[in-house]
Amino acid sequence: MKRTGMKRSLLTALAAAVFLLCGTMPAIAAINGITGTTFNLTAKSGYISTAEGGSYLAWGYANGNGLMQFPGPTLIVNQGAVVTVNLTNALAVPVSIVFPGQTGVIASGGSQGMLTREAAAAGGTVSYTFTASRPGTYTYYSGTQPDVQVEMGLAGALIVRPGTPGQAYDHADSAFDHEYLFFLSDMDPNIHDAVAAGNLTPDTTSHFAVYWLINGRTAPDTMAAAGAAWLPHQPYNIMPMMHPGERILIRMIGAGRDAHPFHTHGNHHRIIARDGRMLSSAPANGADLGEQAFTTSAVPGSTVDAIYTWTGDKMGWDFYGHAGPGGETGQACVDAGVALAAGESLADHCKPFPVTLPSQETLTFGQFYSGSPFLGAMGTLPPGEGGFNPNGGFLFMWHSHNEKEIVNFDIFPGGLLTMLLIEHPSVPLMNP
Amino acid sequence: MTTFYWKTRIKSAFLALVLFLGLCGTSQAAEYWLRAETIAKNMPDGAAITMWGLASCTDGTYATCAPATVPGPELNVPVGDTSLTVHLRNNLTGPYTEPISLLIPGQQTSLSPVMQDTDTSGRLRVTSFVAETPVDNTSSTDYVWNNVKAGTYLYQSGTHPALQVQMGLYGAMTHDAAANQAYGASTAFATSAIVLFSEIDPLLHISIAAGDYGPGMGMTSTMHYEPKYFLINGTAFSTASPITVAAGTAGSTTLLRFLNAGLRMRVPTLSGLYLSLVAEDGNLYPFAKEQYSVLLAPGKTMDALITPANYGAYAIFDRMLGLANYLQPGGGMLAYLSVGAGGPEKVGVFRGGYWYRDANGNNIWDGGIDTTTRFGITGDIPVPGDWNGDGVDDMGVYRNTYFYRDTNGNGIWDAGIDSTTKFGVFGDTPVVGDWNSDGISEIGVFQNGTWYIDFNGNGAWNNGADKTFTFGAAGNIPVVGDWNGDGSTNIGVFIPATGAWNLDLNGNGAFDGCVIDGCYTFGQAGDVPVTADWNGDGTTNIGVFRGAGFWHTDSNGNGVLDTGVDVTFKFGIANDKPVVGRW
Repeated sequence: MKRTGMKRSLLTALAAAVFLLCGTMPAIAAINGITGTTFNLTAKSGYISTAEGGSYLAWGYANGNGLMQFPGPTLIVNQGAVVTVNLTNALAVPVSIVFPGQTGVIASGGSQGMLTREAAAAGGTVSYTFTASRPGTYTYYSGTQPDVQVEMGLAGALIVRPGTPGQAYDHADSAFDHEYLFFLSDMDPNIHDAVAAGNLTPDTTSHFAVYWLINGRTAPDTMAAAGAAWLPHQPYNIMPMMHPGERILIRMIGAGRDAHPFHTHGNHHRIIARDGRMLSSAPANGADLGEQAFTTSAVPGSTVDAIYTWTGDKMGWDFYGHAGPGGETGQACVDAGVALAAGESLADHCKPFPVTLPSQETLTFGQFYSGSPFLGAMGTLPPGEGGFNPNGGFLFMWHSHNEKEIVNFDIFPGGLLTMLLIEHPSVPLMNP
Repeated sequence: MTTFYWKTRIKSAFLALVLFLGLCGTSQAAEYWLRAETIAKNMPDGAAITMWGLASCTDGTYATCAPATVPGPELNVPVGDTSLTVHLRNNLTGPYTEPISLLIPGQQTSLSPVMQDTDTSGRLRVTSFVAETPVDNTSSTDYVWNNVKAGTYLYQSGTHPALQVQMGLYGAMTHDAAANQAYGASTAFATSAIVLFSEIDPLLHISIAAGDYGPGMGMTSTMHYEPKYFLINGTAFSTASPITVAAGTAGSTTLLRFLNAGLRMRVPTLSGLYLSLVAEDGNLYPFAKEQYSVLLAPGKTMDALITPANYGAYAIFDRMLGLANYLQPGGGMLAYLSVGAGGPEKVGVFRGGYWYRDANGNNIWDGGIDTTTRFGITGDIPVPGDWNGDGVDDMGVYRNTYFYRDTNGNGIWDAGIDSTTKFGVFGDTPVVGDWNSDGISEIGVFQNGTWYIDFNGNGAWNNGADKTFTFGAAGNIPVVGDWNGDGSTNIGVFIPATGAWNLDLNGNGAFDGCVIDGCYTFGQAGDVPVTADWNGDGTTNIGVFRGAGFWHTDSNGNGVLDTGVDVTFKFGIANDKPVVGRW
């Protein structure tokens, strides 16, 4: 009982913090990251936190003289830009960066390593220059002993924007209203502990992950605010939000050592690109070779772009609570003068909620439950229940479909998990 | 009905004709004689792993066989052949051996499972998918595939595969639909290369070598599999001996055949290039997929085309991070695709500090078109090389133990910018080559039969990191080139008194006799040896510069001067120093 109480107050505090931070922070870009053409990164160490209370040594790329962060800064550049990444190494081992999917990368300085030129330990520098010739979602990571250094956290995302705003690629099939990064990784604490104990060449062949992360965080930290003060080395959050009918661009990166089957509740998503290339039969044909899926793996080192939308289709009731004057549904209800609302599916228009809600004393409540089956509406809740969903939104869990990956070192729930929040069109989104 | 009847008749007549043509035509069978042997494979960390390899033999006597390897030899069914026959012999040795067999998933043949091992209920258990070859080194079993399908396939043992595939009984089987076309015109290629991934869990191999495998023994099954070594084409990467895969030349298309003989997923990831994925499991895709990496499941094959614009070494590695050699990080499944410069090398001469170079490659001096450039002084030894990896050879000279190199490639000496490096001692002969196949030329010297090679390319001698070879003798003239087309420069010597050449064809830095390495006679006393890729095939061939500026080149690459066939021309004058490169 005591533990439950503790947990609840922690969660309440967390929720309060979320709202506080969101209230005080300026509007943030759709995907947190740094923009420009020249980036100065520093490889350094720090500690990352897991939601059940763990703390592990990690290596990561910091923005300039900032704190080490995992993932490294998301580099957001425009197509055609000549990008320079200057890397300074504050670690005790040589490091480097490779940019899979970029052609013509020129490395200068440092010394030649296995995959590219490397910055020497303790202060060495190296520079990489390339032209971001094609738009898309990419990743970058260390090309030096990657079996150790990728595990330790030296990895990040690279986004190349096309000339047309609001699209991921040069085709309308990639148009989106909101975009979110899903940088999916895994962690074997034994390797981190070995490095922390001074073994810089740990055995990576017996890798066995017990943590799974999105954008560097385990659930429920995934849903805490970006830049949360208590996660100084994990600045990126992930809690996708949308209004009905809008399109979310999922930019997914396989950033760990294993593939993670990412599952979207609420609807299927349409895969439109892999490895920064649209799934096209010919360049002008958009994502005509795209495919629907409700579970998609970005295999390690690769990227997937997918479009997700939600209209309430096939829910079986009108989530806005519309009613036809004579009980009409669908087109007949529109003809009877009840217009479709934003993002609503025609098939379920004006369909009444099909069941009578059970009385409250027979229910248990989740903190996200609004008390009402209608979007944007609040129902009656017993004292102390609910509270995480003040606008009456709908929530769908997005998570690894490898169910053992939604734990934090065997403690459920956690891991590679977040919630999609669908808000009423009148509600501004906190994660735009 | 009438129509149907006629159709049937026509069909029968047609079939008869086809059969007739088939019988008297050129349809042939590819035939291989393989022998399984127990071998030791050395890992970069020093471990010697007992493996079961396959040796390719010349005929049914099994008297002449190449050394057994893991993976086994490529089984290629040439274009035009329709069937494949493998005669398999089993010479496995050691305290634990098993009958073996061969299976090619994706190629149809009639299987004849071997059932044995009755359980307590009297039921039989399959122990082999196909007929077995017993461990007798005497008999042989024939495995036959008719109507061979085009594509890339993995062959492996069909007997106790959980154990025997791990032990090394696997390899690539290939068959092209047409000459230089994997599946048809959409998969045309100039070069093809095999990139085969596999793994080693040393515990099994130790148990087999010790006869400690089986019921009641130290190791009872292969259940607890945890690979520690990660191989491409049978080799685990180390910086001391990097893996290179010859992958054609710049501007031309290379077919990469990916195979996974391991038991874990792999993700081959290519640096600096995209793959055009065209086929999977020997099946052509309706649309190619453009990716820089590909998920390669165990037992799977994938075909991809690349057409690199620039030459160089492109790293390919496993992003599932099979990138360690057991306890040593930074090894495993990493190889360099070596893409050669397109086209033949061009000639030039060095005379009194001036370089006269045949820019248009017609082997004739064209004043006003070809280039004259001052770099160096009278008495310098010209040492051209691609110092910056841009695919173009730059100038350089060796003078009094110093290399002066035009590292920024602008054709003039820029003090403080271009490189000055001391390497060697007085009397050494300078040599230049891409020793480590990174696409950038490195330096070296030859000193009375001993070679000192700047393998790590830092311009200085580093004991351990750099390499030294003994090849040739005092008085020999060192020659270098990529004799075997693997992307790294190999060594050799020219004996000026006789015109004899000894070339390190296998690239091990030692002379292994004329059967393994190459011995030729080309030229005569007083000739100056010149080596270049005369015909643009990606391998270096030999030649000589003689008298008043005559070049005699082995342009057909057979090691013999064929009058009227090999190209001979005049470029330069007496006492010029010949140079070759891609200008």
